[in-house]
Amino acid sequence: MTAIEVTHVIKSYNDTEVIRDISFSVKKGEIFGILGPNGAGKTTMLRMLLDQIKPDSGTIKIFGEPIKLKAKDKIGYLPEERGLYQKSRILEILVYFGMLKSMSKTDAHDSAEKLLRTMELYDVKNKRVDELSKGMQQKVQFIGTILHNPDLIIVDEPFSGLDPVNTRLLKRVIMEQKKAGKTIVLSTHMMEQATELCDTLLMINKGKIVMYGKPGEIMDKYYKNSIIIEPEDAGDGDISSSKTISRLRDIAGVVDIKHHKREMELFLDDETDENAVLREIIEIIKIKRFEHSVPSLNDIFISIVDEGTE
Amino acid sequence: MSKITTVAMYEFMKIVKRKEFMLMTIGFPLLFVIVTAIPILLLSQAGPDDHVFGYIDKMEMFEFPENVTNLHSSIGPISAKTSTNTYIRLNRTYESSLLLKSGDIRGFVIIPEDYMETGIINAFGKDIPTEEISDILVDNLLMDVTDEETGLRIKEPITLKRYTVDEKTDKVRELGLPDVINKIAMPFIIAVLLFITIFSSSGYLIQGVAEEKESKIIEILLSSVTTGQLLAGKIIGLGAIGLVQLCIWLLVSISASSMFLPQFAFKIYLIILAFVYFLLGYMLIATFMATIGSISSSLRESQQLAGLFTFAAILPLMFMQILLTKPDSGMSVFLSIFPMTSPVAMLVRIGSTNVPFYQILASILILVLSAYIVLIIGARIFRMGVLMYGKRPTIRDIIRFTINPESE
Repeated sequence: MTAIEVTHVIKSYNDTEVIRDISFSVKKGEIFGILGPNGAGKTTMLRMLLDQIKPDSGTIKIFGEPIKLKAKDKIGYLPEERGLYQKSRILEILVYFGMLKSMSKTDAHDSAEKLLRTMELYDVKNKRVDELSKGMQQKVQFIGTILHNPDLIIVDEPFSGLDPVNTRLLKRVIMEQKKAGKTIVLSTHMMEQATELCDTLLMINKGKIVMYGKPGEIMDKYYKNSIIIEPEDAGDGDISSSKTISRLRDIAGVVDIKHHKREMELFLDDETDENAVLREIIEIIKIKRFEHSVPSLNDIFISIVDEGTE
Repeated sequence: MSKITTVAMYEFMKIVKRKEFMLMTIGFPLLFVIVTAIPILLLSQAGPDDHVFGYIDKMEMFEFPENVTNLHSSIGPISAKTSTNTYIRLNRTYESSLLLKSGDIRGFVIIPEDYMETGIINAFGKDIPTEEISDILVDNLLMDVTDEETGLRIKEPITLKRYTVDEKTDKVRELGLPDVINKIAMPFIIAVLLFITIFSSSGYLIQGVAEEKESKIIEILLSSVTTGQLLAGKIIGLGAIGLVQLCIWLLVSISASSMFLPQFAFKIYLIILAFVYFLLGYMLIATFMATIGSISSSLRESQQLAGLFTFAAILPLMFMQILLTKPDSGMSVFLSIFPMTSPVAMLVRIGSTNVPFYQILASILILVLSAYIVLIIGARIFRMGVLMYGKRPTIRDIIRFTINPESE
């Protein structure tokens, strides 16, 4: 079943088009990553999903229906720009957030206490927000996001500002929510986390979709037949001599060579076997490291953004 | 519980729990009572004491009474006090100075030989009862010239009594101190209370909106409620704060007034009108304030912008003298009809003159209409403004959004 269906959505501010004819769908129960550099249109997209702003054209359906006021109660949202009432007490704020999602006061109270325990914040439940560290405040906000047991959780840069321990804790909670059948939309520019957590990825740049699919599919799409070698005498200048490079380039199947600091990347044509190339390389130079080059999501992200800029 | 009620309850409780609110709500009337009562109490305690004065009559034609007892006026629950001045005849200045120095007398006067030509008498010491001595001299001078009654009239030729004819019953009624108090003081007090409550509640609103925008809580709130629900909840919750304050302050004012000034009669229709004007005036000012809060990037900026509206609303207090002395002038009528100033100005005018009913009705209708229009436009600007961070919308943005709210 589809949790979110976005069809041909366009949004402009003044005369600038910030979302350009975007369509995608999010399956129920999956973690859907929206990636993109700053200013790509991620937050605008999320705000449209939350009905905070309206698209100029196109449709957005949440659980099969155009978003209505009632649907807001099914959504939990953690915005990128975060804040809490600094002088208020933690439990009091969480109960208020729960009640805004149509929970009863008792239910909101019970749910807040339970989640405060899970997020290791129970001992500070009666403290004022300004008495907590930034990381702790961020965890409180995440509790506010899932307090009402929403079917759809939208989190914008949830890990920014968290230390590794709390990042691990938050990842665990997100995975628990997924196991419980919740749909999660995660907007981030941290590729490692997106690769690790997301079932489907959507990358937007300058308001346009530049990449959309399963992480494995994307990797395959951007797969390059290349190998990386690190010569033994790296650093003395010999390996970068035109003679050496020329001999490497003459190996059958090598189409291009890129010389990095201590290593070289040899691009091969699709039919060439990398082991055959390796055998020829070791006859030319001694190497201490050889590896098959697998592009990371980060590399793909950067190359796509660079392409867009060019 | 509806979301508007949830927001309203939270806003109400958030302010009620604040120490500043308790201090303002309870402290303000307490301060008012203290400031009013202490001088009255001190005055009552510091009333003239019994004193002994000497007099040297070099003309040898004046006879002072041995004792003169004065009855002072009562102040609220404090009953009237009496004081007695004793006069002793003295002969020489040196002897009088010694008595003054030793404290046996409070002071003394010398009536010189040429008093009849100059009218000058010389006084020594403190608290010389000038008016009392003047009366004693007049009594002496008129003793053989006229009868006692004429003498009294010469001393006090006029005691003015003012009357009014009741428009409904045609009954003639004497005007007294209570009328003056009720005519000026009561509308003035209510108007000032109204001004303070409207602005303190609206102040909480602008502070709240600016804080939520600055700290980005607004994003979380708007993922649960619409901008309309948020604005309505805030206006209702903080309006309730104003109503609580107004009720407490009016109650304290009525209690304190009836205790210290029994003549003070609170007119029920004025109180009802005060609440009507509070609700409408608050709605208007609060929407302005919330809108300003939504388009400002910080609390400081919003307070600066709000200053413009505060200045407009403070006009009735600046023109209070005109409203009280010339309540039917063009300026007074304008101030009591113009929506930004009408709540305070109309209440003052009602106290000072018989305001035609159509003017009260017009003032309320214009206020209702203005509040409605401002609420519709304000809600549109609020919707756009609250989600704009780091920059203030331009006038063009505001106009565009006012005309077409879907064009964020």
